[in-house]
Amino acid sequence: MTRPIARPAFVLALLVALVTILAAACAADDAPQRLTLNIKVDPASLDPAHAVGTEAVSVQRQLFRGLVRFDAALSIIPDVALDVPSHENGGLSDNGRIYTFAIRDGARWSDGRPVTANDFVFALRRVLDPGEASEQAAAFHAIAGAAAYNTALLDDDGEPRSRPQAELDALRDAVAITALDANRLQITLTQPNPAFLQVLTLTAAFPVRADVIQAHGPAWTRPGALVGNGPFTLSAWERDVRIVLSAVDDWWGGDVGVDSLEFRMTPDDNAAYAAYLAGELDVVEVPTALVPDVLANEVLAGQLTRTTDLTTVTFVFNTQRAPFNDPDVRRAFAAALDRATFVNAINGGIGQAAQGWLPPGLPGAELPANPVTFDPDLARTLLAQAGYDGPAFPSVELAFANVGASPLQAEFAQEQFRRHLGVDVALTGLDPSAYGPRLFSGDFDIGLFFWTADFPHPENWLPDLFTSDGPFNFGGWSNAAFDAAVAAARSANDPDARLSAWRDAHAILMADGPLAVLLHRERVRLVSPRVKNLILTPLDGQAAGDNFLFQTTRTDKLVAAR
Amino acid sequence: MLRYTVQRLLLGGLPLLFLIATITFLLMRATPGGPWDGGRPLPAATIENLDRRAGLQAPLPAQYGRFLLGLIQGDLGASLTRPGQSVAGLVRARAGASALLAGLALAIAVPAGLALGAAAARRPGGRLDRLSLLLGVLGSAIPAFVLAIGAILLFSLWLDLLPPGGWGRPQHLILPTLVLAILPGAILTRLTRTVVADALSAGYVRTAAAKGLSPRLVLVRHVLPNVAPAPLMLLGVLVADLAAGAFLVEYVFGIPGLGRLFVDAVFQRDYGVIMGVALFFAALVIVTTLAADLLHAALDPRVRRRLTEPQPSSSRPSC
Repeated sequence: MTRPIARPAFVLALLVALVTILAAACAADDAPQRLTLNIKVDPASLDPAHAVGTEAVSVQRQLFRGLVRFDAALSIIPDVALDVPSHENGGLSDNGRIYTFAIRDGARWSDGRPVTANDFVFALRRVLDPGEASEQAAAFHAIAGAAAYNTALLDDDGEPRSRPQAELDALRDAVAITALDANRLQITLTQPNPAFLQVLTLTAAFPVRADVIQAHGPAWTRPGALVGNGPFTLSAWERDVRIVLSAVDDWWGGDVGVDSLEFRMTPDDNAAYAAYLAGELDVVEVPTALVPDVLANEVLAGQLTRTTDLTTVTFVFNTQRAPFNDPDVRRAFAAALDRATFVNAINGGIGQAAQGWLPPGLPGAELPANPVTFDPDLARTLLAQAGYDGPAFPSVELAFANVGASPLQAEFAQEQFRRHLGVDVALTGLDPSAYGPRLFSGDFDIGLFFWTADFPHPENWLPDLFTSDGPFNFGGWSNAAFDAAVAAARSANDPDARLSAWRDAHAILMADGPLAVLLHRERVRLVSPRVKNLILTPLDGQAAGDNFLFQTTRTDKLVAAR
Repeated sequence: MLRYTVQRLLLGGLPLLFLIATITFLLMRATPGGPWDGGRPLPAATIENLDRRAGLQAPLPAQYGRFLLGLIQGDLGASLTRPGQSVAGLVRARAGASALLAGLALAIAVPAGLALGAAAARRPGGRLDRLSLLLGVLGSAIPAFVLAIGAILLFSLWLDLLPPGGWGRPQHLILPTLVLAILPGAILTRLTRTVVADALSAGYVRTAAAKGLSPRLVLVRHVLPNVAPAPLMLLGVLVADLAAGAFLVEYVFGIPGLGRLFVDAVFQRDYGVIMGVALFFAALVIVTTLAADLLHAALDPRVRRRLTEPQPSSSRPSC
């Protein structure tokens, strides 16, 4: 046999011919004025009480509207409410505990009925119903009677206990959310909470219709059954493929910019990127590895947008055991991370090297007096001061969830600790469901996690994670001065005093805390030139610009981006 | 034959399903983490409420007993991570896409593999034989994932002929079907080539050729019926291969199939869905293997006799 093996070109030509014929057989057609975005995965639920995951949030924001929402600058503005309750307009009581909302005239459900105060009462009590087991319930525990109702089926040790229905009903009715009349809603808190209006922007605070849920049961979120009060209605939900929403005619909130929205569920980033290039998606997140290619491409670079998320990626230390019970050791490790190199050399310039835990743009996030910086000399000095000499350092483990950018970040830290401290850290990558329990149980030396804002307020960033009795205080850190600063911030009536107390708390956290921050995440997206008025905010869910999609428009008949 | 089928399903299939269900149950629960651990951290009280709603606070043996009781009644329970959706409903909704893809892939792979393999065997070392070798090696060596990305690059981005992924239009089927068909096609090609080449040197072929039949007739009338059982017996294995390939192909092309449902469920620890898909695939492999055996019996009188006639006590039906 002297002839070469059958040439691949021949095989390829055969395949191409075959595929050409097949492709020609099925012609494509495009619907005009439809904006197509990728949410990657099928939402677990479209029920506001169970909106877990950023993909579900992105869809729900189109179907429902709450009392208040954020504008593009992240200030609270009225939505279904006529205005934002304040001391000045009498919506907020002098003691700062009682909020009264007037429901906007003309706010309507998609079936034409007016939105009433009772719809909100029903929705919020339903979220707190222990039998409903809403994942977001704890966010509303600030409301008087809410925690008692939500935890009614648990005894003091967290063990289940049963209760007669009459008792549960009484607890439900005692939750301080009441309709004064059809158009006025009153909510009373256990204590003043300046972040409460921001809590009301969460999807779980969206109104739902009692009659619709009673009529359809769990199937009420299906097309045909779902009744919402947002700019779009649910037309189709093909599981794991797409959700299609149609614009509401004469929507009470204003003009809607496109006829329909399509949320695709393409899980693979590279496949989604290909779909964008093929003109199938209007917006796409660029896979980190492809960012240099995009920047080098004249046309694509012009379609690039970058937004810094309210997200902080950090390493957390277990302060309950040696060696990280020593603050000097924690500081040494924090000083040994060359964050700028990570962002610029490894992450392709994507992201912002963190100097504090609170991301820039959050009130109180102005740099702490002691920003964490990369200082290898200081790192070695601190480690020596703590009585350790590099190689003799006890063996420690860095655990992380083996998804997304985490493995890269963990490997970077391992290399930095070795180079600047002479300490060898063992890496343990776990799948996210296995990693969570390790963090919660304190079964780690160093852990890697990130935190994303539910709402842009230190309340969402400091108490739960770092006070001595915080539910997510993974590192077991306890600092009386920090606890006192948080308590002061929460109870202060004067806005300036409040802000200054949050700032103090943040400074204490950065000086003594259980963490070595790495970076604030940045999202890099391509936006098709067909899309106009896409308003991106740091609080977007999985779909870009999901807070303002009703304003976004799209021109058809434009050559696909390429 | 009917008796054999019923016997094998009842004595072989059912106990095996029960065993798989039990092992799956134990493995799921031995895996660290639960259905509420993968996403954002939740406060303890919320987790307790979720556990209670899902019945996860009961002792493990009680949960196992309740699961078996449901299984006997044909009730696989509700999804833990997708409130309001039943496991059976989720599996049913996703099975269609997977079955369509797998069916199309087999419809391409089986005739193509048989034809190419047989043709290659006729002239060992010839152009077709070398092509079949190349396809066989590439098809078995390159992971479906790489093939899928390569196909998207070539046909969607460079040639702009087909959508890079998605579902709902006929052209969405083309690339995933081809990618999925390559491995079974490659295996069948190589297997057919080997058994046909063996058969071509057998005595009965020489006899047939000696009585003046054309090579084509020899192949079609004498060789293929004799070698057909070998590729057929492979069918059960191919179905399992297709299921495994579908996990990746469905992910890359964004297809709403069982593979994607299963992968998501495993990562989210959605115990009910994991169990539902595992049992579905187990039942599928049991039925396919049985079908292959029955076909084999239909083609080969010797096998038929062995299956239908009363058997010595030592032979137990197996799966």
